[in-house]
Amino acid sequence: MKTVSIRFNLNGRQVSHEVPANQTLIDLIRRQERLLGTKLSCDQAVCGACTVLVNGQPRAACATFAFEADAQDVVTIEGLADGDGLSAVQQAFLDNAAFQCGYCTPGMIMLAAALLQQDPDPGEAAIRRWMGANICRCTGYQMIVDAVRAAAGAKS
Amino acid sequence: MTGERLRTIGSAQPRRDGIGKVTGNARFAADVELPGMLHAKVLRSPHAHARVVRIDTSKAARLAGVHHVATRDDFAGMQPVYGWLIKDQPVLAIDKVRYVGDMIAAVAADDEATAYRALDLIDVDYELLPDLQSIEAALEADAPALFEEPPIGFVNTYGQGASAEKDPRKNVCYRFNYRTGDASVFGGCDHIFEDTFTFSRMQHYFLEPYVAVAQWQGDQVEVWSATQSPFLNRKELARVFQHPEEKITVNVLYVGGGYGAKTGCKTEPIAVLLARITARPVRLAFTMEEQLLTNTQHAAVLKLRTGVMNDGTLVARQSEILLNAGAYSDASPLVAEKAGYRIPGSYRWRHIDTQVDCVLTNQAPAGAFRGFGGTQAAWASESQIDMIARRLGIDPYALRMKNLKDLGEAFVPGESAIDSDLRLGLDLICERLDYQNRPKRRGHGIGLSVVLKDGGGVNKAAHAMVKATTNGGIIVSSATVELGQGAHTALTSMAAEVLNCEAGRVTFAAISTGSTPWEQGTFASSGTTIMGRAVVAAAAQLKEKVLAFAAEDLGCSPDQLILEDWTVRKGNEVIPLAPMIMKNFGGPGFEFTGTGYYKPRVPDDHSAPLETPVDFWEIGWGGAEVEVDQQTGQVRVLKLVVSSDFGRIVHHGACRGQDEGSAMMGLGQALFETVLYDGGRPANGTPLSYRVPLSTDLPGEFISISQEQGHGRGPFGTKGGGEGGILPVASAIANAIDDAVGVRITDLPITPEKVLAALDKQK
Amino acid sequence: MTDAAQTPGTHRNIPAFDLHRPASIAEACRLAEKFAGRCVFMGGGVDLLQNLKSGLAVENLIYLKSVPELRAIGIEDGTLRIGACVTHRDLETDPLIAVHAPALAKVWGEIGNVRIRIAGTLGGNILSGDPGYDGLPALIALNAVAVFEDTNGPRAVPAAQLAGAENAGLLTAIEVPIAPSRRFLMDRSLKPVVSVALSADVRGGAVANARVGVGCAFRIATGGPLPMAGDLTTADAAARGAAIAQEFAGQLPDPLDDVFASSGYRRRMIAVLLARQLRALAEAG
Repeated sequence: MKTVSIRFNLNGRQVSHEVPANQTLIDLIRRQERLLGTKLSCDQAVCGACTVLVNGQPRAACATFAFEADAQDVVTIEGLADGDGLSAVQQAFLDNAAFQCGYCTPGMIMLAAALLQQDPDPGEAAIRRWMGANICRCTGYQMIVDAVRAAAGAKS
Repeated sequence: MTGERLRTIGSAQPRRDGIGKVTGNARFAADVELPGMLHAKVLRSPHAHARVVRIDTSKAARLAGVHHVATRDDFAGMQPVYGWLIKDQPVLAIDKVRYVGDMIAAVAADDEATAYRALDLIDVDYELLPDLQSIEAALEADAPALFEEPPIGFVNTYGQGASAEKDPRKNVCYRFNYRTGDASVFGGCDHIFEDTFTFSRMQHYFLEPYVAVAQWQGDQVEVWSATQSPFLNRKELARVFQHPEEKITVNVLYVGGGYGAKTGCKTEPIAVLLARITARPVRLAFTMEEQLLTNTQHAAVLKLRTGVMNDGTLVARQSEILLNAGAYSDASPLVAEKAGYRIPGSYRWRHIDTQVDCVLTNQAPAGAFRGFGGTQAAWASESQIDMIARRLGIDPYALRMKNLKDLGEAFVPGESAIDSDLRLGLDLICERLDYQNRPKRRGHGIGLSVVLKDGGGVNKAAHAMVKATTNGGIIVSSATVELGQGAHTALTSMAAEVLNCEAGRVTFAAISTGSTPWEQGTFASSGTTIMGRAVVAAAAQLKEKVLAFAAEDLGCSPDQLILEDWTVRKGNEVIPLAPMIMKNFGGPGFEFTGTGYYKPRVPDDHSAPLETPVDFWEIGWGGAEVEVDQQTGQVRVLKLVVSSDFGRIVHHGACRGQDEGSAMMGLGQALFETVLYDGGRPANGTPLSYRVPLSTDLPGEFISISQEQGHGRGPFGTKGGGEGGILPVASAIANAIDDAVGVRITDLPITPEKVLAALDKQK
Repeated sequence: MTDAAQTPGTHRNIPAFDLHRPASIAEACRLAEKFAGRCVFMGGGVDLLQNLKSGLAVENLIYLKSVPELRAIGIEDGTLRIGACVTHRDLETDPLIAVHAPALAKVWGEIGNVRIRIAGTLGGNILSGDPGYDGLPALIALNAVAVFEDTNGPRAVPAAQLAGAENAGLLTAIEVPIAPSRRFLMDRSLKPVVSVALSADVRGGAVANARVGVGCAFRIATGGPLPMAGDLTTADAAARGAAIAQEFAGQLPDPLDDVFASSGYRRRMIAVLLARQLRALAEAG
């Protein structure tokens, strides 16, 4: 089949789409769902700017087919907020100025959120290793690592 | 100035761009979409140097979904070349292609997939020419000329000691010279050391791609672009398209990183050309591979001839610097100026003689890259200082301390004074590294570096506007782009300080050249001090108008009133302004406007070598502690300490972030990051193969020290920043390796194989 | 692969294809036979998406992550059987492997980065042909066997011979012999220049039956049994280990010479890293 019917949970609501088999998840998120927070950068799953959560796991949306989201739970940066407020990770990035140009930031926050879901109290070494999945050209990373530690502290 | 408690400057507040960026609501040019928008892609040369004999676009043009295929045949009525000082880069190839990646044709189609398919259908006949893949090759007597006719351009105006020449010789598009003192002092030196250093080339690797969306309706041209220089781009587009500047509007949103690369036209000319021809909005976005082919840092060869005395006194430095400018000049003439100006480093000299040549090669154009000539100069200068120290048997710390310029000492004759205590900063670095007590264990070492660069640009004028709404909301309008450096936070904070209001009540207006006041562009670490002065002046004028209005209403003199949180205090009385405004202006209310302007003065005697005196001195202090694996040559950075002096910090997080981000770029360059060429084509030009630093590359301990020495001449005592961090890192690491195992690497990157080879040679 | 200057990798290039999502290995094999020559398998898609973005034309895509048997991990008779669509992250975190082959879990936890480990499968990794990937050199050292299936049945291919096995059918599992005395190390600190994997029996301070896998240094991962002429003990680990490693590195064909490193440096580093690993195993006892 050249098109696929998919149904999945996107940021807490059920969505249905008829997608071409070759459509990527980032394309569906940005063009059809109009969620522009997920950024396209290297388009080769290297930089991680397009990181979203699929069943709590960080995935590059540019390297994931839309059909792979079928029956899954997808969360983008827009779905992280706590009602009207910010999630702990977002608040920590804000409080610790763990961003500069902001282009890697949504992906970086999703990556960090996934870490804290799986390891609520990671040490510096574990954070550096996990966050090594995404590229930031602006911050030099230390402030991002510090923010993730702060978020872990805030959640506990 | 420093001791004075300020309300907003230096306070803990969220960055102005914070909420948007952590929620994903911040918008970038890459997010812009217009109804009916077409998508463009560019055909790039597979050859490093070739004549473009014939371009057949007929099959591509017939592909369903293709609206137009643009080539040199579409240039009627245009001046289709652009550049900074030299207009040598064609909108699309005219007679030749000069590097792998050079742009030949551009397709506008319904979608990108169609545009890509159309590229495959374009037929080009090339006549291959010998290509030049190194500075050396380009300077050979029988080397082909990249430009048979020298492109039009101009030479900058200089003051005392500085001069420049356009096209001094074949394949050199610009030469900068600086001289002070007398060469005869070499004769009195105890030693003259000649060393050559090679500097590598990196790409900026910003994450938001080069992108522009253009539309041409009637005689109105509108462009949304990821650019650092909206007004320079508008001027360039006006000239290229022979269209009035006032009918061209460039809009800038947040920009996802630039580090210099997004200065000057990149995607805009083609996007505008296609928009005009198709009568539809056109989006042109480059992929990261294309980005790696568009603009890079300058690789360089630096030959330093330095005369010194036995006791370590530095006397004279004669330098010959060759910059690899790539195929088009772009920012090279200015980078040449700055590399040349900065090669003396932070030291006192009796004689300086510098020549810098921009050498054209058949590689990607090199342009503005964070550090801007200062990185190249620092690599050579701070490596050689260390080498000289070791040759003389003097501790590298002591040699530096002996020769560093003093606070208040002119950089060179006619130039402004150094506004930081260089020794104080060096001592801070040494303290954090425990330099004086470092273990003398082979394989373990510490290296230092103190680098200086002029900051604030040259002759950089800035214009700003600040408005206040009926209810005291403040709007700052300035063309300084928020690239991530925190400029909008700094400038809104300054307005808040002057107007004595909550920082959260100050917003930064959207940037649009039609309505935003003019400024040159966001570079040279100039936002805080140059634009800062304009914003402060604008806020001051606004305050003046508001107080004059209130004074008239209250029947008193303005100097009896204090403005505070959009009220005026008259003695013990606190009068809110909003009701006063409504009373005087009626239902619609009112908005006050203040404007401000700043431009550095050119001294009447032209004593400043770069025409205007340097606004502030950006210092990069650095120190690295390393361990060298003597079997593999691997270098592990145990500790990296960097420091800048911000004069007075406006926002701690922003300042710290700039230093650390800058330093990690330096770390990458020092150890592994570089653009590799294999013949004429990039060997590692994809995101998968071009390695940039990750969080796993962090040094064991990474420390940045944001100093506030208090000598800044900018608003509230500020000095600019953002480039300091990158400057000292490579040389500090090379110096640390020398300290650890006694080998000296003079080219970048410092790979394990190079270190091992040097260790082998040592045996 | 098309020239990077001409066709950069972008998701907008991915051609339209027919998608098939089989629910069993048998169904997957039937599809492969039906569309022979006109189909590709997709596990995690790490490599496949790269290739599709760079212009690879595909008519039929057979998606394998929907086949439960391909995600299974089990142990039987001293053999760890890993389904081809098991992700690196699965390997890294699986409780069975944590108990019976902890060294494997440790090495697999360092492959790529966490996003790659979550998406990428063991099968995709070893079939990739990318000389820089860690799976194949590791499996060569581990003396693993790749199990392929087509409509004619299963076929086993030793990891060291995987390079020529493109048409062997659907890769369904990787079988790794495990034993409590079997140790496994992988040194990837010099990537992308060279990586070295070492597996050996370590009993009472003696290292025996060693196997080496070398990655990054050749077009295809290489390796095999490590000639030692007798067990290596803690006493002679340093000196003899270095000599054994030297000998091994010396008899290898010329390693790659490229922009990242010279052939000579690669050969030398194989010896250095291997010697360190032998010593580490011997000293750990």
